[in-house]
Amino acid sequence: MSNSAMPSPQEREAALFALAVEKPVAERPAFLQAVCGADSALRQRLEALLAAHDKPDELLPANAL
Amino acid sequence: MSGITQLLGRLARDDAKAAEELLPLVYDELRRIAANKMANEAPGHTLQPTALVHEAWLRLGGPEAPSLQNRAHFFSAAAEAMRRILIERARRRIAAKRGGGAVQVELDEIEIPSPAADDDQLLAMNEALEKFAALDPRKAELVKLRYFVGMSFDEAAVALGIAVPTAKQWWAYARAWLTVELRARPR
Repeated sequence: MSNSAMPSPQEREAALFALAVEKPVAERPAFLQAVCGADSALRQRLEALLAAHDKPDELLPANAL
Repeated sequence: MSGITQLLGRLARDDAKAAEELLPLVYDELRRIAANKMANEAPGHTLQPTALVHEAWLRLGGPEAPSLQNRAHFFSAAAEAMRRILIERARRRIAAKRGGGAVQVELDEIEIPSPAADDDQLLAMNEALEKFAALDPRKAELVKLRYFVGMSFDEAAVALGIAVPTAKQWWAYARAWLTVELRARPR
């Protein structure tokens, strides 16, 4: 939660997801390329999260409500 | 009736023991309110978890100690209590089924609608959520309020003392995280 220290990998992932999800689907690959660079593990992780966001199971109530 | 004003005051001073005491207090109060309601309603009547939690907040004297921090402490404890109530019920029902009906299911089983399609799914979600809570406890609090208590974004944001857009952003991430986690599970 501290802003002074380096964000944890978890905080970084959550922050990048929040940014990526705001972008149109067509612009996401370029965005991921820019922020992940050579970090392919991070990129795969964000791609999986975005795919889950776009096509969620009905396990949790929808984003509306 | 036991007031929680003092307890919340100690929580505000970072008294770790107060946090331990708050959970059983809220848990017992929720069960007591639910049992009273069950006794006074027609059989088959279902209780709304959001209404139970708000009633517990009133009965335990929450409005006398309404600081934002206190609210967040109380509603986090209430979400955890509701989680336990629902998980314990799911485990009992699964055990009863495995026992071929030999295990007697309590007659006073609380009639709260389950957020999941079935008990196995509820337990799977609970496990995934425990994993998520270890990584990101604040977002997990939000998921508990939404999933186990059935709060709207507005209600959950007020309970946690965060802005509604923040709640929606946290939710989108948590939901995606949990979906990935649950899909990776062996079925």
